[in-house]
Amino acid sequence: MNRVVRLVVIVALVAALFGLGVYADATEQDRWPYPTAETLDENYGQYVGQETLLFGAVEESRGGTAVIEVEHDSGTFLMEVQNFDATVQSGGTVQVFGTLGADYTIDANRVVVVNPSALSTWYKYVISAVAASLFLLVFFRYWQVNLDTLQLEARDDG
Amino acid sequence: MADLLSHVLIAFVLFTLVSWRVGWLTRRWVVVGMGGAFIPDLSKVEILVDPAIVEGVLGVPFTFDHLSSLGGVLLAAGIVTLLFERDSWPRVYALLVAGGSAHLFVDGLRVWADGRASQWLFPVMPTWRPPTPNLYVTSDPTVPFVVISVSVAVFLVDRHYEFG
Repeated sequence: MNRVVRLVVIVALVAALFGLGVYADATEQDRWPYPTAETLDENYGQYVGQETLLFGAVEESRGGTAVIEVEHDSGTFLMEVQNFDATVQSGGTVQVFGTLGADYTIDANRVVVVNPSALSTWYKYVISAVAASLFLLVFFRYWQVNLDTLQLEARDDG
Repeated sequence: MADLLSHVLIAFVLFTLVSWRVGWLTRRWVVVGMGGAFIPDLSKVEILVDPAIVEGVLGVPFTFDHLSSLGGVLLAAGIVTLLFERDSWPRVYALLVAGGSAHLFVDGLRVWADGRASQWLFPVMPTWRPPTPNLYVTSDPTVPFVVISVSVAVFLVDRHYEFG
């Protein structure tokens, strides 16, 4: 396969990958078993009484109630979570599975703390950056870029 | 997702263990398999590029979430494979898909409040959410601690003994 054909195939695969992203987003509301943040933002009242699963950042929590900020495609909205039985700081991230009530409330069946504080998110970013850096060091110990063919090839000394 | 370091090291452990039985799976190829474990986390590009901007520019709905699915791994692995020299393609593609699939499988073990994992088999099984054993949450430092410990043990054994 010469360089031009290889480039054409790469472009075709990138297009297919992009197309899959379009298909995934276009069908998300049909595939997901619960109302999504987007559908709740568009017409909340239609879904009162239904179960859903939400991800949100905790704004405040006290006395078995919390307020979380739920992100959707075009912004955010606040939800009051009742029966909130988790310990989490402001800025932490939670999953809430429960039943939707009137006026942006949700009666939680289960709350899972994903990130106990905003620092947890940074912890994951830092450890992931460490992983990427170490990987690149190891990878280029065994592989190199051939600038003539613009391909990755095994190093003779790797 | 578990943290990326854990995913890459889990791939290291898996491929190193397999390399003790499969002669051609040398360290050079183990590294390629570890690279496959990065593919599902390419969805985190949304931190840098807001999908809403892509939608605004192109006028179609769009998400990066599909990169954390089987379909995303199969296509992205194909793109990366073509960056390698021709003779390597079959092995590179197989290892990238295996590394990416291991990442998806481990992600499928984490805690979900409703007891079902993400639709990581999309688009092969586009609506099915496999049951999850709720083993860990992503910010739990126990996960990288255990994975690093096992990785160091496997690394030392691999260096000390000759296998194959």
